[in-house]
Amino acid sequence: MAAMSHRSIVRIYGAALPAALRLFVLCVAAVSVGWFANRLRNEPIRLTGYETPTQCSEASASPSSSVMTAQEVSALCGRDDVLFADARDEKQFEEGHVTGAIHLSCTASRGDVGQLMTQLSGKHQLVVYGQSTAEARQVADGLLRQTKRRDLDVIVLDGGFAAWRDTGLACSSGACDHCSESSSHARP
Amino acid sequence: MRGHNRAISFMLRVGLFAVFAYAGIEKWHNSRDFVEQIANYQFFPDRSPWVALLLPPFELAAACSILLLSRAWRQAGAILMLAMLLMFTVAMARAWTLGINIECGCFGKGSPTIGPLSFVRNASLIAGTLVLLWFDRESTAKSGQV
Repeated sequence: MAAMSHRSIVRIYGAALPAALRLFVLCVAAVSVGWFANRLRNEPIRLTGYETPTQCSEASASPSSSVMTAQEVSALCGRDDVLFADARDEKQFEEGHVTGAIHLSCTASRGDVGQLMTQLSGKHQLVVYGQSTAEARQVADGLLRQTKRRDLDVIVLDGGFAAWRDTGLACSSGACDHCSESSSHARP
Repeated sequence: MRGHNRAISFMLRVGLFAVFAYAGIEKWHNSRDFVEQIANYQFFPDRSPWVALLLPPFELAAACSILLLSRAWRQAGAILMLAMLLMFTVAMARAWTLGINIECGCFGKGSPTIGPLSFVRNASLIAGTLVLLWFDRESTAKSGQV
């Protein structure tokens, strides 16, 4: 048994050494070929002084939110996998908001989306609205980057809360139910 | 090695040769874009020209050795291929988990964006390389050739 294992060790060692040597030769050959071929090129790759791009290029652009009208968004109401988020300030939220919406500034403070992530569990669509489309879009794109969830479809309500209200869709008033806990910690 | 094993081994060698040779040539041909694609991974971006310079010849060396050279060299080429595939998979997984939405750069310019299919493709190539290594190991053990 011991003699056999000794023999296998010798065999493995003997086989591995030349294999490693061949691998090394292969790597050296590849490096040499690459180096010399680069020197022979009309426009060789410059190995020093490379300026890294400040943002990813072409197909690498970060995902962005989509814009939908109030009528289109209303079709998503009542679905379990959809969450509405209000990006306006607290006073405006209290005066009126989309029924079932959460107030973003208390759930996603600057750089911390932990609480929002909890509320987003099981949700696949997040509808963000603000005073205007541009305001909501900025917030939505920021959330997309921060949450890093590829399965989350972030939608911006076109025209903001005013468009929703003017279309006569369901609105509620009062403070955010989810804010009470966080505001006691976050706000004086 | 039995007849059908030899046939499978040969097909795997041809397939892996085709994939790696194509990838290497495309990357070498579009090296400027490839530098950018590597930098997009945000993984030592200032070293991306070095990677763009060395990766295509490594892929071509591995591809040629598994199809055109003897069995011993074939094993070395397959090991090199396996190491590269594992490295690519780790880099893609890192970008994927960080939510960096980029082209994988696997076949130069116009490569598909990193997604589940990229991982399936890499897993298939890794499996193919492992099978090739296994067949070669078996035949080496039978013939006593190192």
